[in-house]
Amino acid sequence: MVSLNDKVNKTKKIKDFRNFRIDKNLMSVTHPGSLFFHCLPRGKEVDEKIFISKQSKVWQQALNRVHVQKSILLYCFDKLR
Amino acid sequence: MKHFINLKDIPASDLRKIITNAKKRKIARNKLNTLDHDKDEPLKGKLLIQMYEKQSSRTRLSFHIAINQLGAGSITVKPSELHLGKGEESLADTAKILSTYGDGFLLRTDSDKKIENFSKNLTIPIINLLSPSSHPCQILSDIFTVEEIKKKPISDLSICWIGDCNNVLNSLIVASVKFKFDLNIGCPKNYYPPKSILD
Repeated sequence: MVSLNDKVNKTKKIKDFRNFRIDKNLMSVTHPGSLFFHCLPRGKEVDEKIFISKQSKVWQQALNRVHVQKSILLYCFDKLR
Repeated sequence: MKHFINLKDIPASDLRKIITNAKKRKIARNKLNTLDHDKDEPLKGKLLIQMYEKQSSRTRLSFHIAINQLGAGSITVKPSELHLGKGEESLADTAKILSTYGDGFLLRTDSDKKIENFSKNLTIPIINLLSPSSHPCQILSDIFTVEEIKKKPISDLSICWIGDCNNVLNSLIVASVKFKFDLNIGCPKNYYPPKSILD
């Protein structure tokens, strides 16, 4: 993940991270059961093939925000059981 | 009542309780529709006030659903519509108003100082929906997802972050201490996490 907000020089930052892209080569050196996560929104830091691969769990990751945030709310109201 | 601002301020046992509770609740509502309430409606009658000073897709929608499923209601206010946003009301007075009408305040902001000031002036809980220094909701949720898929505690796994040193990574670093898991970080030399976080 590379954060490209309005306060940074986007061209420089993309150049600085050119060797840190998540692609097939990088994933090939990880554990066979490895998973790919990304909190989204994505940019060009991840290769499309990895993003849509079976290793990618980004949609499950997004869905689970609902479930965990419910328990965060309950924590705040001292209602965790 | 408790605030949820930074993972470092929350005991590891409470963070684990949140994950465990989420797992139970997710299983319990397996066959329910998106806006069906959890059977116990633990926050029935509560009003949660959300405010976003920055863009949000996932956080906004997922909290809307989360609040509904717990039986509570929510309203989203725009900073530009509040007197505070126009400099016409102090933060302390705004916090008092939010505490009068609402039961909880959820804030996404580009100012850590603002969250801190709200936390001191509110008499209702505040949840940090992302600040310049942290993104605790995201990381706690990611730990849940990793454990859900791998079916083992995250302390038995090796986590690697490739990319920027940002608020998400800051929270991940804190989580690696709280949940005791290995964390490897890959980033360019000039983008190392700040010493204050690593310490």
